[in-house]
Amino acid sequence: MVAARKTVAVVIGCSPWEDHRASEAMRMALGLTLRNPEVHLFLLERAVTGLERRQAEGASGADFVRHLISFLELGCPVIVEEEALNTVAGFALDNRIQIWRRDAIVRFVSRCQAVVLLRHRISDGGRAGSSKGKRDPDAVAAGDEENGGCQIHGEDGLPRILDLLLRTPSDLFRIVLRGRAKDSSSATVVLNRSGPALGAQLHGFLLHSGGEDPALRPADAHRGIGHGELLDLIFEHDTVFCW
Amino acid sequence: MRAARDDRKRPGARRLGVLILSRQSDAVLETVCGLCRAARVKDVEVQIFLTGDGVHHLRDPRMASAAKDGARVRFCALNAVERGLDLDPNYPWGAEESSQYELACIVEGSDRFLALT
Repeated sequence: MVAARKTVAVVIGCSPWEDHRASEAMRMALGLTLRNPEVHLFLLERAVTGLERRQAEGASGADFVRHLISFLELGCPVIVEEEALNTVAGFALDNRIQIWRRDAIVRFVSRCQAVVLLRHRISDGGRAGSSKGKRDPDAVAAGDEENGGCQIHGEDGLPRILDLLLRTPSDLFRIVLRGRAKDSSSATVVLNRSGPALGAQLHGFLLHSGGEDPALRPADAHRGIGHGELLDLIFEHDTVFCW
Repeated sequence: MRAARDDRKRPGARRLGVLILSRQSDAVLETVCGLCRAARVKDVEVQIFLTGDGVHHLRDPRMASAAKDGARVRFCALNAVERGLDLDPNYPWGAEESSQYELACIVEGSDRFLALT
């Protein structure tokens, strides 16, 4: 018996000419096709610059292009964001590449079972990697860095998505959340101590991973969660997006 | 030659795949470790795959801790060699040399998948 294949999306939102993770992700996407030929590759935002005609401008970008060509030759779907194409000139657009509007991409990715999301990196002001960061006013307003607020919303029958926010959210995060607001049920978990700046634009749902120490658990209306509860949340949702 | 490890899922167990594609913050690594600890008591099998700059975490004691809690830790051997990690006498720090094909198997075989990019 052959198990049904998953719908897998690799979403790249950073420039392959500036961020070597893009070529790693592209190589990984190629590798994923060994088990699933229907891996969907999405190039959003700055990733569309990977389609520009450039000459030997850094090994990372060149590797990205090489892997992308192999991916296309395998007949795997490559989709670029229409809105992003408008911002960059001089494309060598292969006729096998599909162009979708952003909202269509968001809808599709929201229904995938496995999502690898590579967004443009935003500096965390040196806080990433350190367990002692400054308190973020936005995070404090939403709850507390080590405590948290929680609200899960959505309707039955819609994909349940867990957004795990590992660092400062990008514009892409907000765009995706807005785009799927009516098509899915989602919850957001913010890792404590990573201190992402969050505002009211996140529909107000927000959870902090409060660690196992009961002293970190808040007593107020907002709720921190331990690793066990985070693990339960992961399995209560259909897909986890790590941002 | 080391015998291939049985990759079949235990009956009734759930499986969590974790991809680490780049260097992660302490908070993220602690969360991965915490999830492995929690998984142990919730009958969840954890499979961690390190690739790209994520292979630098091979020498992080938290990966050994995750393995001690039952997680299977594998990594892209090509990426590790590219970064010279194989020259370290402690290589591969108890983790398993692997390939992108194995990652594809983890993605397909996991009930839930976290991509830490």
